[in-house]
Amino acid sequence: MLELLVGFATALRASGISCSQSELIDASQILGEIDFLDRDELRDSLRSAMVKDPLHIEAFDRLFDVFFSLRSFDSAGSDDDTEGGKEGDYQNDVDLTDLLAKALLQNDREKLSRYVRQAVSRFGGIEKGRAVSGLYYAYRTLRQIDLDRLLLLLEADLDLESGSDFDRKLHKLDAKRLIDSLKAQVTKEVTELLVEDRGPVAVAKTLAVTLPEDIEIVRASREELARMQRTVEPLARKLAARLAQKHRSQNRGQVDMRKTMRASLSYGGTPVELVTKPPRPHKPEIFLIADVSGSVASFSRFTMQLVFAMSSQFSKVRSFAFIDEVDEVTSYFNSAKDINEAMRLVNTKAKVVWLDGHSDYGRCLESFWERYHSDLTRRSSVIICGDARNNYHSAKAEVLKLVKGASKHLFWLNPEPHAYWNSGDSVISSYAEYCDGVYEVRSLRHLERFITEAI
Amino acid sequence: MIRNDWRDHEKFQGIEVVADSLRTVGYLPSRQIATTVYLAARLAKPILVEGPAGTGKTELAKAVAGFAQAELIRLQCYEGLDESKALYEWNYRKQLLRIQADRAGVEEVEQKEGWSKVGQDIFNEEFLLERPLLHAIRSQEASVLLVDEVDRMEVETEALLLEILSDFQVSVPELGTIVAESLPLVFLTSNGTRDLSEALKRRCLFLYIDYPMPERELEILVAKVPGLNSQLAKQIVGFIAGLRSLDLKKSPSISESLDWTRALLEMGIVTLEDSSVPDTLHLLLKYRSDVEAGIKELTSSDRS
Repeated sequence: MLELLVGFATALRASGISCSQSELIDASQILGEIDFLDRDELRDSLRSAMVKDPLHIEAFDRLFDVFFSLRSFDSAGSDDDTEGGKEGDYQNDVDLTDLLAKALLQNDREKLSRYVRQAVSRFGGIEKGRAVSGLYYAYRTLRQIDLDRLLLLLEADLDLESGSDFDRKLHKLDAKRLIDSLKAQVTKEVTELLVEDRGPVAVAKTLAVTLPEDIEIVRASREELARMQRTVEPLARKLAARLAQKHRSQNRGQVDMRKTMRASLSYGGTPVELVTKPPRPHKPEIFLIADVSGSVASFSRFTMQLVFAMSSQFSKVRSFAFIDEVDEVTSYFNSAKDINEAMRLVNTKAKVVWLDGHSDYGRCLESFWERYHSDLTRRSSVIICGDARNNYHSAKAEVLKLVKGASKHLFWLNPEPHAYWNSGDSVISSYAEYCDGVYEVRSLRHLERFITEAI
Repeated sequence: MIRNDWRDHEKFQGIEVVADSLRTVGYLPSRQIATTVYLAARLAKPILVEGPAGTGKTELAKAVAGFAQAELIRLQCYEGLDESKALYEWNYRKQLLRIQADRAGVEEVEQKEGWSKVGQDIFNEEFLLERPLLHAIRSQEASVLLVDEVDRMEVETEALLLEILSDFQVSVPELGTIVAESLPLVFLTSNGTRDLSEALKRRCLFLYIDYPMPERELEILVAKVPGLNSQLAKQIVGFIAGLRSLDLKKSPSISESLDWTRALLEMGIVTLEDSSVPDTLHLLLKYRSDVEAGIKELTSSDRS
């Protein structure tokens, strides 16, 4: 058991969850206090000792399933119908969907896992010994189960009880939740089968569990971007808090004479306690300028998320978008209800294209300076997000010098790996000269590093 | 050796026992919550509770103190909290008076001797003002220490907690190290506005309390709101789960859903309908844009 635990900790570390020696010791102590044959109990216990960040819970759970599946090996019966059930038993497939629906509705975990096991063995077509992550098997199984029909079945069944419009809407959501739980169950089943086949360590490797903060922004899928959004919010708050904090720690505050006098009375008139005025809350003024052109499409979606998160937290965030023309987009973010609407407004209403819709950093920076330089103060921080691929237009880096001179900080966040900088039409180095720092921001972890190191 | 009274406490003899005890004081725990509390008591580890506002983090500490009949010592954190407010402070005023009294009475006695005596005198227990952390350490009986909203504390002040959390002792330079007699059960709560230091996290068990699963929320509503019929409760839970799946600025938490449920009952509403929801939604959602989104997505009474 201990060996398994150590292997598990190693896998956690490999996926980026920092699990220190002392946490591992805690975990092993826990084993003495609980009934570790009860899987749920074991999971809950280990989770409390080994995961210290809510964002890591999902990754932990996946790896836990890999390492501690107490699967009984009596699946001999289902082996018979792995093949052969493909065409002949069409009728049978339909039954399985019905059965799954029933099990989901009754919230009968035992039945559900039995049917899922059947479905996986029948539709998954798992080939032993292949080093794959199993996502494909899960996908194949789910396709065969016919989720659309299942959804309809579930909705119809839920609607039976009562039929007002309002309820129907709720039932749709319920049904969706049930389907999600089915998907999770199927993935789990597939993983367990793979573990049985190849052992936990090998499977953990192929699973390649990524934490939300390690997802590469440029390559992230839509789903992953959505998942990252939850992480962006606290980061945005942190970023702005940092910008404010610096200011505070430099300035301890003025002496409040009135209060100091009052406090001295209790010491017979000797001013023992020095009371200072509470520091005035510092409002960071942030200017975010983001490239929204096609070459950095998913990155710009990400920066927009960042902007959105920040502008919902702080009033003094102004955002600008540009391709070959710059336009202020602050108002779209303030009025939009969610990020998608904000994106749509930026894409449709903001005037970011001037000529041909190819990024022109020089032109945009120049016109930013011309139009907004009077708004920059010694308290403003300017953050530019973009890959500095200028399509061989002139860089006009000297404008940046002016911007730098007029503001407190000037940072550049580049979504490209460091190795690609200055290759081709990238002119990042000529801009870097005038920035307080140029940072490679390919994932949330990079962004976090930027926040803690730079500011 | 520090006594761990929690280990032998009759109400901490199993996860189920803890869960049941929590239920008796009106706190309905999830499995994860009961497990973590149980482990904390057995291993003498602090619990770091994190989660969105209003999901019952502080309530958990209160509930544990309640069923274990232990004293609840609470330290509310805020920016600018320092040693003298969290740990201990010397009562300067009293010390000053003491010195003055001495000087008046013993004028003729040799100054030197007098001073060393005074020095010993004014740095003893009598002049020590206990603050929550020291109080918890010195408590004779097992106590529950709640450090609320740790994330509001500055990073530097966080270090204050480290000695207490791992060794359960406090060093007062003038008095020496004060070691706890009986281990307090420590709860630290955090809203996650900033990352806590690794050192602090490492010393704690971590408990993340998220918005409850629909089943648990149903249980809570039924337990906390008397006279709620199950049909309405189910609708409420479903509706709130729907709201939480939307992308809102602030999702409704348990305390808000309880408020809403009570309000619905006061208004005599028996079933949720498109007409009754919009009027009361502001009890549940605290931003105008959220209310609009909720109405648009979950009812069919929009104007389009």
